[in-house]
Amino acid sequence: MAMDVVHDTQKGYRTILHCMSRPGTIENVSEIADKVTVSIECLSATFVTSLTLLDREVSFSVVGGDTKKMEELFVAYTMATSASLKTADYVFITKQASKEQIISVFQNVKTGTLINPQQSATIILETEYLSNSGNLLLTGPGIEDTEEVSIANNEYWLEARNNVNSEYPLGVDMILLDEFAHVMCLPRTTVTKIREV
Amino acid sequence: MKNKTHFALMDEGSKKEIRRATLKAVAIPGYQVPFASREMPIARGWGTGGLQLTLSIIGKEDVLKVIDQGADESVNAVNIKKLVHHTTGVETTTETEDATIIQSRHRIPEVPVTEKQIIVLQVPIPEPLRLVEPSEMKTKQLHGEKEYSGAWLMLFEQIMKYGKTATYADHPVFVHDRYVMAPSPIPRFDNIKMNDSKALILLGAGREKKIYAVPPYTKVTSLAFEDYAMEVESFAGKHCSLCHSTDVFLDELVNEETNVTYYQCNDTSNCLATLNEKEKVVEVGIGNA
Repeated sequence: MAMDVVHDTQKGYRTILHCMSRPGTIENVSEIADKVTVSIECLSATFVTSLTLLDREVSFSVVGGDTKKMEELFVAYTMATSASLKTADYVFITKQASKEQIISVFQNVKTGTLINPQQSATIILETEYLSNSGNLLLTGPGIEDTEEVSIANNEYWLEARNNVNSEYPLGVDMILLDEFAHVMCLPRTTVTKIREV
Repeated sequence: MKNKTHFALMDEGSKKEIRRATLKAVAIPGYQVPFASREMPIARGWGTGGLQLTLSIIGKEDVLKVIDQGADESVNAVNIKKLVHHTTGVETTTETEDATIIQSRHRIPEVPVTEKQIIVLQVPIPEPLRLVEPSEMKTKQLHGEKEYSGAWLMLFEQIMKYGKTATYADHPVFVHDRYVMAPSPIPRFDNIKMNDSKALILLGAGREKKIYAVPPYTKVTSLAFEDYAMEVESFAGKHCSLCHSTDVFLDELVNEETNVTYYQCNDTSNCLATLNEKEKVVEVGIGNA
């Protein structure tokens, strides 16, 4: 069965909204992702996210691997415009992205201005796995006490993220997706700390 | 010919735009994100901001409750509920516990909200600094610079004039120690419910084209001076004339025939639930006798 652009994107959005308002919470969009029949270089969950958030009013950029095909597909399905890293509203980082490429995203994306902090990029990052047991501790709005999470290869970008979010309210918000269609969000307000062993 | 309306009335492009603004609002608690407020089949100023938020988040499995000044059955609440039901087919309810989305005009329900719920508040004037600065350009700059002298001065002047802060509703709050926010004209009694709320709170101002949010478990403090704390409406010695509750927000009413002042719960569904609970206790009591 094909993806329903009305109801499935609504479900996808509610999942992202739930995760964005409760950083560290891991939800699953596999029910929708399983309906994706398009042959695409990225994870199905990434494609679901693109259909949920993109339209012709916004721009995006893809980083990692063969991005051309992905860009063409996103444009065809959502009518969003492909843009440079510095101006894109949504930046998709695929699993194929190298450490250097990921760091370069954080160094170059737009972080908004003090008058318009919402004019900042949202980074959609693909990762191998997300789980609720690990050595990464999250605190901030949306978290009652502390959330304990584990994100594959977070050492690649955690410091770069902290740097880009150091001047709140400027910063970037992240939507993390894994191979099992798990979703987790890290808005700019979330403070990360690595637990000392 | 009557065409079938699209699910949740709005076209998908409009929903997406509101959804994107909402996500940014959640990521920057208390900051007013501008959005392209759509024309709604109700007049601006009658909850179009709240309605657009509700329509953008609602799905087939949701259960909707709409309240207007605490009442489930007022014209505004009933019309919004009907509109959403006709265009989505979702169930509506008056029970706070059963709802997944609670759209409210100026009250946060008495029954504690849960993590499964989203509260959508309708906002007439989202800008807490509007009374001290008419220019939108300048208020945006003041927020950017965290320059809130105007808000403090407003409260200070009230203290000088009346000996206390004299805001009735819409007493400004500080969100996540960064943004001063208008909590929508909820009574001061409800301000405390925003602090570390279990539910996500979304606020929408249709006429003013702004969306802002308070994520769950976020620090929200009412603006107050060390020596002049914010005073919550006091109902000491008063109770609801119907259910006799004392720890709730009460409306003051006057019996036009006898001129006697009496009080009644503002939250009608909570009042009814309390009455039903009492009824049950009496029935059980009779059954056991």
